[in-house]
Amino acid sequence: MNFNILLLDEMSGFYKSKAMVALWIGLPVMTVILHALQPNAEGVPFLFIAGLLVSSMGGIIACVTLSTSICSDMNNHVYDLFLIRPVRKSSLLLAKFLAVLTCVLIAAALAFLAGYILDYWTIGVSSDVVLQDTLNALSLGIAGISIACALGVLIGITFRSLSLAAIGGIYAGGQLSAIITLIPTLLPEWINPELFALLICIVVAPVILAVSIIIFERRQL
Amino acid sequence: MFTLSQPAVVFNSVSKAFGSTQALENVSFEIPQGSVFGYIGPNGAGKTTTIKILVGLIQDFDGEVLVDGQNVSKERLNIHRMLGYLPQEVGFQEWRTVRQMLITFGRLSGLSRSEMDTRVNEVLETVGLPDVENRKIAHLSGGMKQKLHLAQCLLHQPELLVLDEPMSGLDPASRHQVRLIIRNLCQKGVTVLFSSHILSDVQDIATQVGILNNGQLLVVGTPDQIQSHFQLGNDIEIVVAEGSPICKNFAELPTIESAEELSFNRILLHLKPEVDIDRVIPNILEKLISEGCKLRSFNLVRPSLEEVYLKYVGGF
Repeated sequence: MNFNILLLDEMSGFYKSKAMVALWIGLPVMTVILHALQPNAEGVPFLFIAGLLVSSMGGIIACVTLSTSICSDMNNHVYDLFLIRPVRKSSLLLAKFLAVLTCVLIAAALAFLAGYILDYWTIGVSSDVVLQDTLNALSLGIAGISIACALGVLIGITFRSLSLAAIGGIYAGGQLSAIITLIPTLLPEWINPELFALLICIVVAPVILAVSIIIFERRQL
Repeated sequence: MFTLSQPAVVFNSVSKAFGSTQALENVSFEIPQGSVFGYIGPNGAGKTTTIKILVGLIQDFDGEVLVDGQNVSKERLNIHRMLGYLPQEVGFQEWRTVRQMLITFGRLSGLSRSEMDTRVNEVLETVGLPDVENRKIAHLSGGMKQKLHLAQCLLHQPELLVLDEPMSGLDPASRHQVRLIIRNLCQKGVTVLFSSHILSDVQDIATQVGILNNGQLLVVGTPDQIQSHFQLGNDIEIVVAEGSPICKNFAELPTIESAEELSFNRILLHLKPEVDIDRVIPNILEKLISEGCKLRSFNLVRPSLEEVYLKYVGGF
């Protein structure tokens, strides 16, 4: 019960924050801007640009948002007022994780939607190949963002310094994004990228979260 | 409500170390139900550590802490339902409005939606912030935030209120208001433990006082018990009527060390340390009457809580 309250509370905090509004409007707008700025973009679908943007930036944004938010809350003893109520420490982290993950995924979805609409408007219905590539990029993007969110939680509870948490978030999120965009080229052909994405989403993110929760439970606030 | 037959809070041989630093050493005390326990001590004495152990924010400690007979290490969630806590150092997520914040904490504390509006309005009225409910917390002054801290811990009508430095950052009028709130809660049967550096506040509202220094609880008792423990100076203040002769030759009495004229009608007698006060007082009164003094007031000057505190913690 209290987990639902925390989740709704975190969601309302994030979706009203200027950072999230900028992200929701920013990612679709950047898709358009990047497409316009590419000298050889003629014929390149907007969806492709959107996929590139989400997989390269989504992880960094998610990781930095979570790491700095948790670090700042811990430094300001914000959690004390929650933990003296019938609230579990793990619920605090999970609520924040899910809230940021949802908000970043909405931003990613908006970017893809903008790309799809612009493609439809400029070149008509996207080809099956483009849609398949988009699906691959989307699934890997979601996997990357999930893991980046989990890493953001781990970094947030580990570092006391806000600047270190931000640097850690940028580094971890950036590296992860780079790896994620390379994955399709590294996978043997018999592995389905979407299934692979689903698998790492189900395994890696929960493991990182579990480690974070164990550390957080033991940590003196 | 708390079970009437047992103390609201029991600390039983509680010790806590942070690395090589012993923050608390064998601390034991009880807080009776419905009393106001003033917890005083210098910075770093261990007051906040004691409080964090009581509210369950520090869980690895030696000894036993009971709230209404329930062990805080084992019954944390139960205890949190009857507990209101105002931390010394705390921040709010400042994107919230005052109302949003109170609603979140109210729901987490188990208030239903139907009672929420009433309670939010009541606590804001109680702490003197009735007009700020839709303001963002980021836009409140330091004193207002401190009152908001108090509001959040009153929201669910706790039976035990734990306040860590509740008066810090408040102006005199707000401090007076907080003292009134604590007194009113005490009258309703709420047990209050509060720490403070403002000893006049402690003297004013505490029914029990504990003095802590270097992690050790030096003394616990009512302010009267603690003050009467020390007869610092053994002084008597005498006030006579305007125009009345004032006796000046007290030095003739062998029990009096010196006499100090404070004003034209006030005199302070310093008694010798070893004298029996019950024998001295009749002698002094007899002398005053025999010299025709029109007596208006005759007071045994007792040490203030501040003097007692300084005596205990070695401040002078």
